[in-house]
Amino acid sequence: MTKLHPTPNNNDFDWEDWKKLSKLIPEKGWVWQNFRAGSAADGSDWVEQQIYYDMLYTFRLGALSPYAKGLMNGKLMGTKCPKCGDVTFPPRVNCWNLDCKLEITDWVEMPMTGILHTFTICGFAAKSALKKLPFVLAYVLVGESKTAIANILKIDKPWHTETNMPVVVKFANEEDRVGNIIDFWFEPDPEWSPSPMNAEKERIEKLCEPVYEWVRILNR
Amino acid sequence: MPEQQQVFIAGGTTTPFDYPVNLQIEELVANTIRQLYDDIPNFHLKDVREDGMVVYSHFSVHFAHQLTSYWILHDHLGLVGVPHFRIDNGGNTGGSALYAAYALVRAGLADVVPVIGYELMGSVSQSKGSEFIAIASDTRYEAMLGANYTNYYAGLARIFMEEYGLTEEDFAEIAVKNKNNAIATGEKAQHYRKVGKKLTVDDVMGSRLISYPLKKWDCCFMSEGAATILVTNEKYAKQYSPDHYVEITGAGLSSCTIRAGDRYAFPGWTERYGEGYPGLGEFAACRHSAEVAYKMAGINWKDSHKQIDVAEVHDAFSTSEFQIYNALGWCESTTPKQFIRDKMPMMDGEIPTNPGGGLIGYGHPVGATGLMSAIECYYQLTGLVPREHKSTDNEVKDAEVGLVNSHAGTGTSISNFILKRV
Repeated sequence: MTKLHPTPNNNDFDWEDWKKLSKLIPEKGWVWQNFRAGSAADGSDWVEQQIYYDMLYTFRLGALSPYAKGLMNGKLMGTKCPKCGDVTFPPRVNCWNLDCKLEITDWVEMPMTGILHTFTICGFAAKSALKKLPFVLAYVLVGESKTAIANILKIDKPWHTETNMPVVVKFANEEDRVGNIIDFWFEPDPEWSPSPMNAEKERIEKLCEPVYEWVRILNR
Repeated sequence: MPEQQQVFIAGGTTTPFDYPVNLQIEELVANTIRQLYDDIPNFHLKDVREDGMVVYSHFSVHFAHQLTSYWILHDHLGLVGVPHFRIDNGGNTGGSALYAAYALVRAGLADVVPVIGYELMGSVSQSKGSEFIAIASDTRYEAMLGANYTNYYAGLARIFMEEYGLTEEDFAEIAVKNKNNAIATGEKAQHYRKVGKKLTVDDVMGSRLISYPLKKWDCCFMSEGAATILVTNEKYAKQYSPDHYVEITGAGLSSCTIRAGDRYAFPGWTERYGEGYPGLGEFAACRHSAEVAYKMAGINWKDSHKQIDVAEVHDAFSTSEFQIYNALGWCESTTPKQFIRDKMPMMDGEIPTNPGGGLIGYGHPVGATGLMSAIECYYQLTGLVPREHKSTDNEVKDAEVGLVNSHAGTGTSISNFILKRV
């Protein structure tokens, strides 16, 4: 018999509990808000109407759940194909190698160290992250993984970030973990020290100055 | 049984790209069709009803505040009974819609296919708009980080920079080229409408940090607009535009991982191109789709930059345009660094790229973008630049072969087309 990802019996699913949880964030649906109207210089009319629409998503992680539970336990769970041996983090619950015919992979605990492959210093980002600017977004190869994962690198002076630098994984306090990628981040390996300032680092430092100032104003 | 046929572009037009445009989608699209009626007296939507289909090119239902918004358009255009569907393939929506129309005509299932692209991105705040685009990344891993596409692209650019010894100024040259080309394109181009003056490398270098190595002027802006391109068989091409039509002699479409980090050592690429490619700095889907298109059109990989006279590529960022040069094989006989320092993609270089202004200069209303690129290339190959731009400043004289490139995700879907003057 071909092994498939199991479909859990829905009787195990607690709808009442789910409804209670969902009600904590009430949805409003399509709701009329505002309008404004006027005429353009060429005499043509314009009218704008604002309508509010929201939604609360439930992400059901299915076969990926061991990854999320791993995060809650302060562990990085990757996958390994029993056929070809490829290890990936982020996990892939079926092997990516076409010759392995979507073999269901095994869970493996990843080491808490990695190598930074590439990075950017964010001077602008999504609304939820503006107050953290400037921050470093890094692509890191964790352990023997054949894939790199994007996450934040926390480093005092962002301009000191370097490709191929060794990094370590840091987790949020247990009570703050939610089973999502935001539970962990990278920091420079304590043994590592940056190379001296160079032209690129000085340039980045200069580019960051107004970003720090902008965030100071934002935080007022 | 339908028979395979050659595929042509017989016309195309865009609305102005701006932010916001203060029009609804049906008015924008009606404007493009009415403009086509003006440009092509023999064109009639009744031909589409009898012998055609319509492919709609639209990225995000979030931006449209409407599911299946193309149903509104099709109805508004007076079309009933005509087959229609919509293509969404991220930033490569336009290229993919063009590819679908190409396939339909090629297969003989339709003889005249208007491809209609549109996007109204000003229906939400700019930050919400960036967030909508960011949810085309893997939301389970990436969107929660607070990064958006610009940040991901910047990461890919940084390793590319290091691999090839490039500087911020090298990228700035590309941004300046595209912004300034858009000034010649005139009133339809967003940079002309919003800024209206030429920029310098110093302007780019002095602009605000968005995500190193990208500054404000290295990036395209949120846009609104529509574009319609007419894909036909030979009979309709000759009937509509006997003096102004081009053949699509090559069409390639390829794909890569949704998360850029996953392509570091993907078996599908290492089996094709060997270990270490593409890494995070190269767009393998661009290389692969270009190889397919070049082969169809009889273009040699190594000489591609000599065999192509003009190109319109997907420069969402100055850095990605550079990565595209490399993925198209244009740096094979030189180095990326030398390619830009020899000014190869400039107006007077070997392969003028984005003479119309590209996304950085013309704008990027996602569903319309790839079609705008194809239309600008079509104008270059048919001598229509003076009529359309009311200027010859960005005309590539006597261009015979053109390349159109459309690009999605972090290089997740990429199409390339070769157009040839008939």
